[in-house]
Amino acid sequence: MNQHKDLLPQRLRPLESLIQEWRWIDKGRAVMLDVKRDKLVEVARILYKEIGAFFKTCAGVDERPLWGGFAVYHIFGIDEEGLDVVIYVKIPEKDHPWVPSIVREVPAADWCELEFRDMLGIDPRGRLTQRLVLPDDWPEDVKPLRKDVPYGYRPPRAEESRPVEAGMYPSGVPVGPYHPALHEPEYFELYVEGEEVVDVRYRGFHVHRGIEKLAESPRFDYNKVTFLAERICGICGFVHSCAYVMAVERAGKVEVPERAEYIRALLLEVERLHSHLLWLGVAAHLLGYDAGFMHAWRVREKTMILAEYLTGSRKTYGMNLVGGVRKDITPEKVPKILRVLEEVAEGTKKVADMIVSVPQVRKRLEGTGVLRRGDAAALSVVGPVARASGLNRDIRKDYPYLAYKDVSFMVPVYSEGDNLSRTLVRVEEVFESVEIIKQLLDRMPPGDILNEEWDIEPGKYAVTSVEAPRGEDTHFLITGVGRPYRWRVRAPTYANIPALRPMLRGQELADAPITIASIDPCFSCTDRMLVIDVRTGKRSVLVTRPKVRVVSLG
Amino acid sequence: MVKPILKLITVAKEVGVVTRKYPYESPLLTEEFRGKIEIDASICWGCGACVKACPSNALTIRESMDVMELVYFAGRCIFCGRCADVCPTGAIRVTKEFELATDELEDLEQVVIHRKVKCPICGKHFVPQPLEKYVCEKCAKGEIPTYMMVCPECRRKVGVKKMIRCKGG
Amino acid sequence: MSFINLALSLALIGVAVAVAPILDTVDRKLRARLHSRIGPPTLLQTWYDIAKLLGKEIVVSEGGSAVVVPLFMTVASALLALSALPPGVPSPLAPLDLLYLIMFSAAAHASFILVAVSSGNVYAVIGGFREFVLVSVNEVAFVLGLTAVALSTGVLSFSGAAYYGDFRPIPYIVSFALLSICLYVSSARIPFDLGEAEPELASGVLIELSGPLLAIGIISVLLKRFLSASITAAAIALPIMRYIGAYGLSGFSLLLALTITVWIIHSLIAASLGRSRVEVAVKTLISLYIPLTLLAYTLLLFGV
Ligand code: SF4
Ligand code: SF4
Repeated sequence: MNQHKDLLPQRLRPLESLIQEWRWIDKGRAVMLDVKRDKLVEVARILYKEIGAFFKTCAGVDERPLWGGFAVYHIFGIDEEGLDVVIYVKIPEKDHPWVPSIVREVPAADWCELEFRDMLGIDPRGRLTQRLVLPDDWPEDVKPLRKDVPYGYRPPRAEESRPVEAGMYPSGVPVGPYHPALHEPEYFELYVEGEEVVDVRYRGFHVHRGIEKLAESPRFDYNKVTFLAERICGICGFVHSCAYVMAVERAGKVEVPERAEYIRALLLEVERLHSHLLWLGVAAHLLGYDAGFMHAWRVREKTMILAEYLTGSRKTYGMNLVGGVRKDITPEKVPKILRVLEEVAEGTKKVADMIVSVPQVRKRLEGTGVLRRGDAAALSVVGPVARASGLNRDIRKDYPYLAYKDVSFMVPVYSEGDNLSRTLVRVEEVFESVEIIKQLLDRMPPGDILNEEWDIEPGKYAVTSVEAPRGEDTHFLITGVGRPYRWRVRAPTYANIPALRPMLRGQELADAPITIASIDPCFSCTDRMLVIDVRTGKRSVLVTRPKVRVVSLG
Repeated sequence: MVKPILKLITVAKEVGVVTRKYPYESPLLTEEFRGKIEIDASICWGCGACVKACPSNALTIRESMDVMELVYFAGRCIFCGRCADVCPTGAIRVTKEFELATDELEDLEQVVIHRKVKCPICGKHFVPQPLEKYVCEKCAKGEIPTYMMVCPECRRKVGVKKMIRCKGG
Repeated sequence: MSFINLALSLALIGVAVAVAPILDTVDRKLRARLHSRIGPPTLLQTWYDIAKLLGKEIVVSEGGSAVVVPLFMTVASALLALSALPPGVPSPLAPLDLLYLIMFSAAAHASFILVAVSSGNVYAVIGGFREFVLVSVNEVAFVLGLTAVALSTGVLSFSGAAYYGDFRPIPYIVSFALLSICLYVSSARIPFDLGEAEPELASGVLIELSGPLLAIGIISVLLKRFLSASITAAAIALPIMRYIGAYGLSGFSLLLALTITVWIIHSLIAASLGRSRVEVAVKTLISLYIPLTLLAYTLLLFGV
């Protein structure tokens, strides 16, 4: 046993005999394990089921320009240790690359396996597969994330549209891709008996934008991708931009001034304020209480103006660069920030109290959309959804980043798992965020805010997780020359959508929209990845007495 | 039923009316707001630093034989202000303008035209004039290199010739 | 005499058509104020909206042509029902005014649901179904409430009661309570706007309508609201007419003023509440209606 292996973290010892090599990456925050293809399933099983790691995401990479083959990275996290574990599997084939699928052991890997199949043509063997991310008319032999496909490639337009699958599904209420209850183009199919939902089918990717490919293209560099990352999401864009720059900084060992880390954390909390208040308003609206909607957004508006005052823009702050931030928070600004925080805290208290005191709203939040703790843990859900179901998971505590180690705050946890708990978790987090911002302002160290002297070595790795308002946002990055070699994003909604199934089943149809909204879904983020429910086999069995015919599956 | 009504009325009364009759009244902007940019053509050198920094390709360079145009297309601009950060001359100003809706695409475009310097040897046009002027001024303190006004290609050729002459001549 | 009767009854219908959209703007304005917003700039806003819709081309969606007949039936029934109210003079439909009122208002609701169902749209069907459940419970209570109100005046006609009714205050108040709840529900406002609740995957009648047809759809909704408000108003006005002698024009203005007041109260309630769920709504309503009905009829029976 050589010396390096002695240092393998205690929790990973059971894997020792199964791995080839291992090394610390990401400034010692993560461990990378080289695993042979035939050992992959076993390693994943032990890691997930015996060691108790959460699955974060996986990424396929075209490494032919580097050593001649493909590779797959499976990324796990051990919350209690704050340690990320990256499994690295080399695939020697140039033409028909494949890896064994780990879905049977790690169900959460379902979607990302299908994604690397679509995007890189790496076949996950031993599971059902189907095309998901790519549109139906995308040519079979073009694998967009391979390095030899130019980033500007556009396939010829399909002349004919695909017939709708109406015949397959005997009954259901189509919701989307465009529907007043959804704010983004998504498609749900709810199967109902009378007013009761018996099953749900989901199809996303209407807004896949190919962002990961674009970031690898020659017209981007490390700094420019920051602005691209910010545009992954219209609500929590700063989360993505932070996760990205942190990944670059950690992989490239870029020094970041402490003051910049404080400013980033502060803005992340400002973003959380706006996001939670936005959600509160939308929830009230979905329950027909427009007064709550308007007043929640009135309070939210203050946070938007605050964001503009601090960054120059209400959203897409444009604050981050690799190495720090672009705008300082000068001492003159502090009193105004504190004033706004007071107003927001007070306003939120009143509005939240007003909203939950409306009998209809309360009745429809309480006991609806229940996600039990067991289901929540099995599905690795994140963010307020996890915390409302009794899981104490918060990246800010579990994997402290930026300035979060220097502030104290509470993580609200409820055990009921219903829509009301999710509402209350978010409302309480508003107050916690206000406190966090105050502490950050108080303790902000003086000094520089931006380090522009950096040089990034290619071929380095980092995994970063940031607690977005909706939960854990994970970025995985491999550095390249002048720009990322591969950049992989997993947005929080991705982890939470599978939870909708247990939540919606047996529910009243009228409560479906609020339940869908209760995970605070952000489809645009999710859609740069893929999402679908593939366990469709049960559907026709469950729908026994169709009462509503599908007119069109538009 | 009465409680929510009273609560709502209390809150509404306390707050008053917060919306504005925008666009008849001014929008709510803070002094930090970043809107579209303006390029001061009289200061710009045409160095292209802004083009390189622009994340969204809102700034591009259009070259023809004897002119180089710096094109700003607000339709692509994400109002990040990176161009203003990197501009060495301070020619770019970030304004607070954001009401850019128009039905004429050209309204969104600003073009800065720079004539290019003509090479006295081959007659080809190369760098923008102001850039050349700047370089000349910088060098004026010292000795003006002989082939400064010559395009890079000719300079190389001349240099090579000279070298050959020195060595082999 | 009968000419004036007819004129005032027609005037009530005319006023309803003209005023309902204005009252809707008042509704919107009030709601905006409660939301801390400015709201629509003029009182004619809903009229402008309707005018704009009327100016658009008629598009009838596939399978949606069936909606036209029930749509007009809704408008017509609501207007006919209005003519059963006593606008300060006996209604032209007296002494059978109550019967007509029940008939036409039921017809208005029924044809409204028919619009939903006949549009063949899955959301409209859901909305229509929810509306149907609600309306069936509510109409029963409405008939019982209206009858109880009439019984406690001693005359089975609103017009008659205004002239020679003999009001028994306690049963009158109880049955009025029952009636006014029914009427609030039938005004299809939050929490009972189940059929039109777009964010709840239902879109009742309006989803397949556009342009002028949508304008008529909106007018029919507003007329139904006006009807609900004015029946409530009439029930308040009756004793005043009877004992103060507010007949003719003053009776007419009384009815109108009360209608506006009721409308505003309705919108105040609607602005402060959230939307109910169909089965919850029905349960809540039944648990309200049964005791109130029992109470009203017991009181009537024992001659309190
Ligand atoms: S605007 Fe500034 S950065 Fe851009 S070309 Fe001109 S001088 Fe260079
Ligand atoms: S503001 Fe940003 S996007 Fe706009 S031109 Fe300048 S650098 Fe480009």
